[in-house]
Amino acid sequence: MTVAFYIMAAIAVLGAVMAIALRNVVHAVFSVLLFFSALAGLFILLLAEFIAVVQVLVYIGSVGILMLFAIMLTTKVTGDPTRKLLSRGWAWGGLVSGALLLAFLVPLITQSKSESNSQLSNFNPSVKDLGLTLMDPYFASVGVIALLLTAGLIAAVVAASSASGE
Amino acid sequence: MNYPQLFLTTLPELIVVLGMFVALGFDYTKYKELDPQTRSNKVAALSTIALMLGLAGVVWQFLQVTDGSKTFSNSFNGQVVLTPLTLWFKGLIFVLALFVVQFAKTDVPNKHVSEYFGLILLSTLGMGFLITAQNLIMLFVSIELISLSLYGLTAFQTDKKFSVEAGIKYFTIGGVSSAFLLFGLSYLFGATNELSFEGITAAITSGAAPQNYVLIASAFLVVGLGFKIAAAPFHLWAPDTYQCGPVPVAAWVASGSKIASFFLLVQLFGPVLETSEQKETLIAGIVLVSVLSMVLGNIGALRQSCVKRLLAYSSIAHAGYILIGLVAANEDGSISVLFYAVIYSLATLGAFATIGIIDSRLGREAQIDDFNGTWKQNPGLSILFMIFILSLAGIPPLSGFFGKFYLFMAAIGSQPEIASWSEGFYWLVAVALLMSAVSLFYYVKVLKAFLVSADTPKLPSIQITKAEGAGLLLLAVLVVYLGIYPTGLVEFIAASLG
Amino acid sequence: MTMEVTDIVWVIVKAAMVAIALLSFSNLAVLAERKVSSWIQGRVGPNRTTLPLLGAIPILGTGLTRMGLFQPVADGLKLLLKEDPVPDHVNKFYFFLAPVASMIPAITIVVVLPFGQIIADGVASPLVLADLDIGILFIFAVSSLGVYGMILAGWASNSKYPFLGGIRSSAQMISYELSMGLSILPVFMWANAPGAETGLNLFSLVQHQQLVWGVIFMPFSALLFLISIFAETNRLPFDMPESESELVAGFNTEYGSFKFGLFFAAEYAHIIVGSGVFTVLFLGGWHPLPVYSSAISLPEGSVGTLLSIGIFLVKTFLVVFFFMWIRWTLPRFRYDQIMKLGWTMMLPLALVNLVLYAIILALMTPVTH
Repeated sequence: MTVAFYIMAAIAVLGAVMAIALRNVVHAVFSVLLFFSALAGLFILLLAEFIAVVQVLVYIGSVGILMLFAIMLTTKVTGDPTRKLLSRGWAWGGLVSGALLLAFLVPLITQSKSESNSQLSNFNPSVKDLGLTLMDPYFASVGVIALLLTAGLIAAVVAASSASGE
Repeated sequence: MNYPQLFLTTLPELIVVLGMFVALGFDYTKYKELDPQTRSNKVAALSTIALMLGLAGVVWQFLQVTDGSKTFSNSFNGQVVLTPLTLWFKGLIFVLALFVVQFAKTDVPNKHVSEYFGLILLSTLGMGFLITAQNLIMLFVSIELISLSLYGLTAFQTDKKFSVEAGIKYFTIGGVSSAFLLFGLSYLFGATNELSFEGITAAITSGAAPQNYVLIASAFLVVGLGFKIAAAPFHLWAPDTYQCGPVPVAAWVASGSKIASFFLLVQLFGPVLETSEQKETLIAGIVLVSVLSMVLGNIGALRQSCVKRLLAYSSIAHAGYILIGLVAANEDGSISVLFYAVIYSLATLGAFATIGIIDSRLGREAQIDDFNGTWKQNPGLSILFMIFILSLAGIPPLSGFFGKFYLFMAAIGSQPEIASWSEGFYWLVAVALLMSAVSLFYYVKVLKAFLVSADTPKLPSIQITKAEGAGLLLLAVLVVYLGIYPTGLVEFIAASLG
Repeated sequence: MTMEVTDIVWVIVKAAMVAIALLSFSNLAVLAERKVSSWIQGRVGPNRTTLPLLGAIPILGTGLTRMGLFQPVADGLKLLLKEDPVPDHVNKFYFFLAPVASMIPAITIVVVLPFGQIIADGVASPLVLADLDIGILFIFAVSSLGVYGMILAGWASNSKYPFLGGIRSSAQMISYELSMGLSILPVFMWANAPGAETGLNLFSLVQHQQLVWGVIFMPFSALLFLISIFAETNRLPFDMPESESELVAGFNTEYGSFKFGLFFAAEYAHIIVGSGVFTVLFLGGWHPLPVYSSAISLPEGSVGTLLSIGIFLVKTFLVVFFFMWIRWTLPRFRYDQIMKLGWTMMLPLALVNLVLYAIILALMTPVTH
């Protein structure tokens, strides 16, 4: 299990890095898809099959296709070759991030006792439990998500239609 | 689950949502043929009615709760917590939204009138939900609701390159900050196995939660929320967003979302900072953010000639001041943070609204020189603007002064046993005072252009609408009133917090 | 949990059997398509192809030849042995990946599709490779990947007709996936009403339809779902990605030989799998009668199992026949008509259908406190 986790995690990180680093946008989208698949794999390792399948359905099956669709409609898939992929201060940014990671996060994580949470270890929710949780205690949050999607829809309508009129 | 009770609890929001859909529906059908300004007036009127009815709902809930009614005692696992304090702040958000709608209606960026007001209403709801949220899921969802609406609003002028650029910057950086926030929230949940603030606080206080994980979570939350309140070094989106988005939107980002975010900071960090074993590290981090914000904000504002950008930098500096109240880590600190958030929002909303009015009449972004001699042509507007700016600068007897006073006193009072100035928060307060003095320079520079400059006025005489005038006047009255009589609000907050 | 080697071998054999069955069926479907089209158009269809030795057997051989049953073999051989052109302008990696990417989802879906039942001691258990609790979601997730084959082919080919085909397929898939998902929600609401807790499991859903088939109780959902599968499998009148009259052959214009054969087989595999899913969701799987009658029920033991598989296959092939019937009857839509139909007709209707059945199911449910 641990080996599988590290393999999946490595693939996920690889996909994410490639998505940023590749110059060809279509290749970048495929890297993102690689990342999504690795994430779905991680969810399966966590025994969250439902989330994993939804991840595939929503992200790989719909978001990825939408991204490809949008990119195929643009003229330049390789971008402006004169532009640098890294900003000027990338070395400093990397240095600070690395320093923070080593000096702050790593000690904190390694020092912590790895106590397994007894409540979580025999936690095996079914799809039904998930549905009931969403519809019962968290119904208010689900309602706010509906508003969130409405806001997204309205913003998308504005962004998509040209300002000068149809 | 008690659905009727949930219905009553979210009644104000439901009213506003209904109003929004009515406005959208009318705009798409009945008003379709009208010219944009008429449509804008009609849609704004509908939005105003919706907000007023929503506000009436909030007031009704407030009266019920203060009467000790048990109708709203069920908080749905902390998702919608209705207490006098949260209801008061939610009401304030609705009032501010009412002002924003009035300022927005004279200058709608393009033909998408109802979408514009719809997004304003949706962001209002998000802020309301964020204030009543004491549950991690609701917290994140409502923050996203606010953010998404504001991204859309910032990029609303799709025909203007800079508006879109500002929207994209805001969106990208906001997305990254949401990732930080979510990572922190997941660590917090992992450490405490609780979703409601109450449970999290209990787990941290009792020591059941691994302290290291709480610290990691808090660090990520500081970063994530630091973006939202535009504290340095997470402030880079703010100047562009404030300058290039529509002005009422900038006003709304600077006021409403700030109140909601600071309210959240107090609720989430207050208990953690008071009780956690790792509070020293965390406070050091927040102090760093605070100092950076004050220095970078104020220094950055010095060299701005565009007034909106200047106010953007000043808002970064103000985020730094407010964080001083948070590091005090006691009840006085929380009170002062909330109080300052309120008065800062009032003043900044007024200042942005004034600039918005001038911008729309000028047809471009106002520079400081544009205000030369405005006093002669528009004395009323100048006086109102002066009140807002002086309050931001913290000049007594305006409310900004008392706000800062409470913040600094809370920081000093949090460690009473310390005698020397180099210990405790004396040095932090000293930095803040120094930076306030710096800020006076640029505030006065703006005022000088308004009042003293002898040049011939660049601005023509400005006709402002009744709604705008009433809004500005009310805001100014509130700013002055809270300066003369701050104790009422402070005591209310203190009583509700305790 | 240790697995015996024999278990693993058995699993592999079962999987291989199912995969081989699907591929043979898809080959036969190609033949069926030609026969059906000739029948509809008043022609004879393939009846000359013959194999050297088998075709020489007096009555059987000529009979098979007349039925055209050797045609798939000839087709397959032709596709295998022809030159495999790879144009210079293509993106090699994705060009080779595309046919595979379009075949794999079809085979994967079969894994969770129950195609029969085994009754032992009065308890029915499914005949399926993997009985997932989230069966239908799995099917949706995997079938949504099928379009990548077309997009990849369209993009990697680096020429304009395939490219247009790829773009069209992506837009079409997204549009019709919505109504597809919405149309089957009522089915699962029905199957999960109080007292009948099926979850998202497909076998339980089929068992739930013992009383009445889904198509009888919710014909409208069935119709919407059927239209959506047409769009998702890119069959006429929805074959925008291919539409030979406008785009030559759409996404597979640049393909030849075996890679083209893979696309071709994948199309029919998708049709068969889609028909199988429709059978499971709406046609009561292996239940012989639309409404329950105690007189006719499947017997226990291997006879019952074989019968159940048979009934399932017959229903599936009837749906496949329907696919072909439609193809040779209706003309192709225009692209904008497809988008309009998807967004302004199918989606609202699917929503109305959902709300309507939510109300009906709520009224049917006895009130409990």
